[in-house]
Amino acid sequence: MSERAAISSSPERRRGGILERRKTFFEKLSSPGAKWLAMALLALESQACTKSQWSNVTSALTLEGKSAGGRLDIGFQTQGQSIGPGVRLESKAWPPTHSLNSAMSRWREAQNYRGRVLSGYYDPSEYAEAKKSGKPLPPDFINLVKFGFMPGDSVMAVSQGTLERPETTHKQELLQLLIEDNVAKLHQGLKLRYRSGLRLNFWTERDLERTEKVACMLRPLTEGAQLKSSAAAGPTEKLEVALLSGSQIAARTEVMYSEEKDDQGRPAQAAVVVWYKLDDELTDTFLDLEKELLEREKEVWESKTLDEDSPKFKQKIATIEDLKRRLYSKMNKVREASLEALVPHLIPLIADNEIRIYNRMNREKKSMEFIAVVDHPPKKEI
Amino acid sequence: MTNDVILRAIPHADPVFVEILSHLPEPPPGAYEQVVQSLPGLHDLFLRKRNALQKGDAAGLREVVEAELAQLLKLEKSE
Repeated sequence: MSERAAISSSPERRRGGILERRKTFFEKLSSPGAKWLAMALLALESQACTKSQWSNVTSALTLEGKSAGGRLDIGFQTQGQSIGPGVRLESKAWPPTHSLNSAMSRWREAQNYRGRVLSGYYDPSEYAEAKKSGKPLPPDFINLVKFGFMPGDSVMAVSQGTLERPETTHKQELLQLLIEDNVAKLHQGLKLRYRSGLRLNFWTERDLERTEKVACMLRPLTEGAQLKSSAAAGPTEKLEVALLSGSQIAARTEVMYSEEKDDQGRPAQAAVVVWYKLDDELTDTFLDLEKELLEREKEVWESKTLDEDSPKFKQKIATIEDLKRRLYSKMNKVREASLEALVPHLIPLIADNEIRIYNRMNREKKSMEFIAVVDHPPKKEI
Repeated sequence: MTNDVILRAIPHADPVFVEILSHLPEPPPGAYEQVVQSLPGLHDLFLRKRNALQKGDAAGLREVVEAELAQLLKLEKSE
């Protein structure tokens, strides 16, 4: 085996990004000359570009962001902990990954899926201060901006998945997993508010080893603001209308294309929309269960004197679990219908482009929309 | 490493390259000659890496990093 091939096939190479592997390689160097050269390489590298350029390029190498010095795996940190100018975590309420169901865990293990959760928000004043001072923004911030966050946004959850074998069937499974993963995390989060609407972003990206990486991000959607600039608000071509049967949900699916064309004459954007009509009972159930769940959870989290072994505490936890079960049971109807309707339309649209998925509930109209928007769809016919 | 040594190895070296190397500690005595022989390659990698980073060329950066690893491995095995 050649020297180069030996590097290429090392376990480090298979596990992480190239910069992560380089770090490991540097640490294992033993000869004085090679150590000096490695030091020189890093010194030269630090002067070869700005931190922003470095982050931008290396973020493209790996969605994990580790190689850029930034990290997205910052979930489960303590309340109010700062992770850099303009970025501050505010919640410790997000569930650890082991709370996801066992089937999902098994699938994740089998496919080398690595999930990430993030919660927090950008503080515009801290961001402005950092910009004003002229100091380079930290890689965490740059990564989050890349993922579509803006100063002042509340971050609900971030999931990333890595797929070693990018076959289409696996991609479909991963997409389903990521959607479910995010929705499950949101359901269990304190900040969940159906009235604010949610936005789910997906990315697919190939890294250096040509493995497929899919990332998605879920955040509150400012009512109406995002959709105005998306294909969903533009002229559309209706390809399909499907009604999904269900005792409480009526839905229809539409695939739409914008009239705007790219430089190859193809539609610049495509959108898949799943639209639901919710009945009064389901809408009210969401509201009631959510309200009660939030109150009970807040009661437990704000209490500093509860003994975790006491019957009183255990009873409170049991009540919360029961509320969650009832809420998820109701919400699962929407989720399952969403996946069933959305994913088959979404898969053909995925290339290396970004997909934005919006999920909004309109309480007055008692409707819910699940919208996926794709820039530069690979083909028009689906 | 002195400017003189660097410029002898690479007569038209990039000024930033020279500036940075001149601030680094001297290479270990036993590996001095090998390090000096590696300087043209190091210079080439620096220019390529800077170019890739400034263009936002991730694929180009990957190639440079691969070349760096190969050069280091060669040095590691030769000592």
